[in-house]
Amino acid sequence: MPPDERTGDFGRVNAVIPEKTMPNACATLATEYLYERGNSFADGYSDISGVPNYIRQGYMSYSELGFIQRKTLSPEGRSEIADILYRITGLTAEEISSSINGLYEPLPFEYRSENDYSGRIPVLVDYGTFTKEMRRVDQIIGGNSAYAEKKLILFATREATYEEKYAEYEGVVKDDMVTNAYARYYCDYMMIMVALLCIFIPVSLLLRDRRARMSELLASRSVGSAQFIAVRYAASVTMALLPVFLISLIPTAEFIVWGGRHGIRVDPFAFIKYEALWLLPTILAITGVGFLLTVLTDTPVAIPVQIAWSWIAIMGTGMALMDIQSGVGGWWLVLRFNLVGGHDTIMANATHILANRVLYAALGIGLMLLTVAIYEMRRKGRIDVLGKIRFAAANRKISDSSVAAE
Amino acid sequence: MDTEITIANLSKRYGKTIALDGVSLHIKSGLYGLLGQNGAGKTTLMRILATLLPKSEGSVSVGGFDISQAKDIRRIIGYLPQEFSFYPSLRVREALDYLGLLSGMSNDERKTRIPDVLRCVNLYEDRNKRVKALSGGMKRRLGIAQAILHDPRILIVGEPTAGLDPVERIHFREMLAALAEGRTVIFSTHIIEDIEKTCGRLAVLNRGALVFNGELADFIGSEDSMEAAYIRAIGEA
Ligand SMILES: Nc1ncnc2c1ncn2[C@@H]1O[C@H](COP(=O)(O)OP(=O)(O)OP(=O)(O)O)[C@@H](O)[C@H]1O
Ligand SMILES: [Mg+2]
Repeated sequence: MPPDERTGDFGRVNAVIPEKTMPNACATLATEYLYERGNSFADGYSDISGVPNYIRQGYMSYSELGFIQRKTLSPEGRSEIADILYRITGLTAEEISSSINGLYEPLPFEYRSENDYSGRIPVLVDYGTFTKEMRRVDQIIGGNSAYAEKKLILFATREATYEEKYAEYEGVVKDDMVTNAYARYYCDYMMIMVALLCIFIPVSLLLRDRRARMSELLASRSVGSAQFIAVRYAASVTMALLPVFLISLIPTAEFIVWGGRHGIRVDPFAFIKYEALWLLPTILAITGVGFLLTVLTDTPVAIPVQIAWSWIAIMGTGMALMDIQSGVGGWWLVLRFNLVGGHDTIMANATHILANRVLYAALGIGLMLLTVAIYEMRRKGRIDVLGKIRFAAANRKISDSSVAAE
Repeated sequence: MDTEITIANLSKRYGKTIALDGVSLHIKSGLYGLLGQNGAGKTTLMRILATLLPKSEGSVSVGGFDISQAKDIRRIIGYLPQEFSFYPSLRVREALDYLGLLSGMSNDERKTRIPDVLRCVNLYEDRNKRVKALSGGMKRRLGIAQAILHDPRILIVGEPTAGLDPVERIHFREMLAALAEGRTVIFSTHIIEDIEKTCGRLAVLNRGALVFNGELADFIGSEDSMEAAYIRAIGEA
């Protein structure tokens, strides 16, 4: 539905507002500076027990891969930062800190606009000079920091206008044909489910052979290893994708009916499209991990390995979520976009997102092919990691008992 | 059609354990028994013949193919391991259908062949039972069914009579003897009677070494019984 003009509340958007952006950036910079220097806890500010250690350790920035890093500086870099702060505000970092009631935890980039220090920290320079100083700060930190030009927008928000809200609505209706926007939102949640759960499918599928003592019967058949593994891989991927697909038929049908009633054109293939392009590569990669590790070891070791990887990816990409929106993408296994709408953001980053997805799809297929090679050796008895261990263990038991009998 | 198995100087080591020690053996069509105590190397030999285990030394050819041509050999052999089972929730005919598919049989071939094979092992009435509902003897018969499904010319069967009751054991021997018409059937056992009642020829393995290979009559020779001959052959007085 289009926004209602009468409510007068259309949410907030990030924006550069010099009188807010500059003091907030300086407050954050002073805080990071003091934490990193680690000696600044003058009267009243020494109680930082609630602040986790890692936050004290440096300037937050993102690596090329989208990881959060803490950068520490050389003494020269440190004093240059102090100089820059002084040039902008006429205050030392300590003075800035006390004028904002002490140190606070530096927030993740996407929440930094929640603090508003306008009016509490003097700003002696114009915005042009300020951005120049910030560019230098970003350089000192090593790039991709909160002070990079692209990120300065994150230091302030303003109320959105009716026009903006309407444009957003139009984006959903026109560019996304409604369903595309919701399909992304749907896939965002499904991504988490899939990342954590779909590893169980290949592992249980493959371990069933051993549990059912079927492995030798299968191995002695004339079917080629490539065909044997590829068919099972495809089955496993389908089994992971099928529930997601079936559930998405419900909203698809609802949107089609709704669109028909309101005369709004919806895209009936949006959910399928995002499931195939956005979700499937993650499934391919996870299934590949499951196949490789299970065929190699004949144990469920892939489950903890994959859940750990997925967990790290979910956490990592959660932090980088805003980053995708602002243009620096992650290379994570899990892509998240917890937003209805955002067509322009997605399109602006389409190449990167596509590259990420192609990477994981290729990884999945690659792992599957590697599994074929390993299975080919296994069924000829050339690799038997677990068999050796088991045999040794069984023998030990026997010799233990014979020793006991003597 | 080549149904011969030729083994020359075959050795197999697992680390320091010598499981097979310079075994040479020539097997032509018919039923061939492989006798040996626990740990004699029977399973090891059968796994090598079924291309499931690499040899350490020697040369082996199965049905005219060198042992390295695994895919060709798998097409012409049927293998029933000593220990095996099926996915418990499959029905008997589904289990066969799946394994037939993996042997490259077409839909039509499977449709006609599976009922035949089930009749042959006397499981036709039970074709819709689930595998988990089969008795031990029925499961072994299903094992034979899967091994002969693609009409292999060489059949390798590990310990087929272990754990069967006397009547079922007799059935089983008769079945193997019948299957040996025009095929090579090699089966391992540590039960002397199995060999005595069925095989014209046998090989005896003892700690990885071949201690006898030939006609049953020659094996018994001047001894009173097969047991006595066996004890003499493996050198335990
Ligand atoms: N995977 C393995 N790793 C190491 N040693 C093994 C392995 N499998 C078998 N062996 C050893 O090789 C020898 C022959 O074993 P094999 O299983 O072939 O005997 P078998 O004649 O089949 O005995 P059984 O009648 O008990 O089945 C034994 O000494 C055994 O301990
Ligand atoms: Mg054995």
